Amino acid sequence: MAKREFPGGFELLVLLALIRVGEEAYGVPISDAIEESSGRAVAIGSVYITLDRLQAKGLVSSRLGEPTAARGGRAKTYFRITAAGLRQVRQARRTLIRLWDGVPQFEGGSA
Amino acid sequence: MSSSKPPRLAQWLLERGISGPQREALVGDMLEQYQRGRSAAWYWRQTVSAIAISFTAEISQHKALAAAVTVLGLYLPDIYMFSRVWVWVARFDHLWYRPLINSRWHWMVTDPWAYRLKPYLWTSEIASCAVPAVVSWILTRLYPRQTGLVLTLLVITQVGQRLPYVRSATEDWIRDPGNPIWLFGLLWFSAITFVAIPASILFAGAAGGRRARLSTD
Repeated sequence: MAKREFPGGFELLVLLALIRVGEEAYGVPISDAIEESSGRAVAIGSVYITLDRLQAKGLVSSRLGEPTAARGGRAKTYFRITAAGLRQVRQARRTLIRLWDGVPQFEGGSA
Repeated sequence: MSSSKPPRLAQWLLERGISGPQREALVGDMLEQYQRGRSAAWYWRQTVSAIAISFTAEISQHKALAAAVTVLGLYLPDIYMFSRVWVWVARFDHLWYRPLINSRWHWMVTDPWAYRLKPYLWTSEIASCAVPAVVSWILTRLYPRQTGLVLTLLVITQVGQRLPYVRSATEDWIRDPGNPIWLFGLLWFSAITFVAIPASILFAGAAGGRRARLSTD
């Protein structure tokens, strides 16, 4: 059987947050999107380490923004999901739905 | 509402404790979040977790460098204890001691309280801070992109090796808590171990890393 890369749990959250935020995705809105949907505090450091890993896998690309005074003269790094990243998210969704389907504990909307 | 500037020590540690291509972006994001009203406690939590996450990632990416710095850090006291450096340090200690014992300042060596200050050993204590600081400066000049990894490992190894002294001083104090000399000993060893040595390593490393970055720009 061919080996297929599958994004891990937090990687999938970051990829989905990237899709939700869109063109203006950088560390702050990505963390906010994950915090809002999960209800948990997110370490920005873990978001960046995950983005580095996703970029190394070719699932995410980045570009440097302009430095701003509000950020102490530091530039934002904007991220966007690549075509390969989108394929992985779709594949992960299909796999999860297939696994969920027919699990008695989740039938009728209660867990 | 937070003040516009985050805790200075946390920001200083954050800027030097993390490595990698996204360091500037991460520091900027945290500043932006803080100015949006996050608390100082939030900033500290994020700083500590960012340093820990970056450190773990750096170790897995630079295993050879991490192993080399750990071994160097562990054997550093042995290297300078058994080298000519230590002989020269001991000579300086002796130079301190003689004039002290023969002067009106002799109480600094003979008085039980002042004796705990060990003035004739100050050169040694300074050396125990200076030698790791020099190593830190050299290593961060050689590996400016791995400053966080190098500094964290040096601090852990140097502080770790001083812990037996602190434990021994703590045991003395617990055995005889009424005697303030033991409390003084505990404070002395704790100050050297947890403040003076880490500060020497971090400041020298920050200077070395900055110099290396300037020379490559």
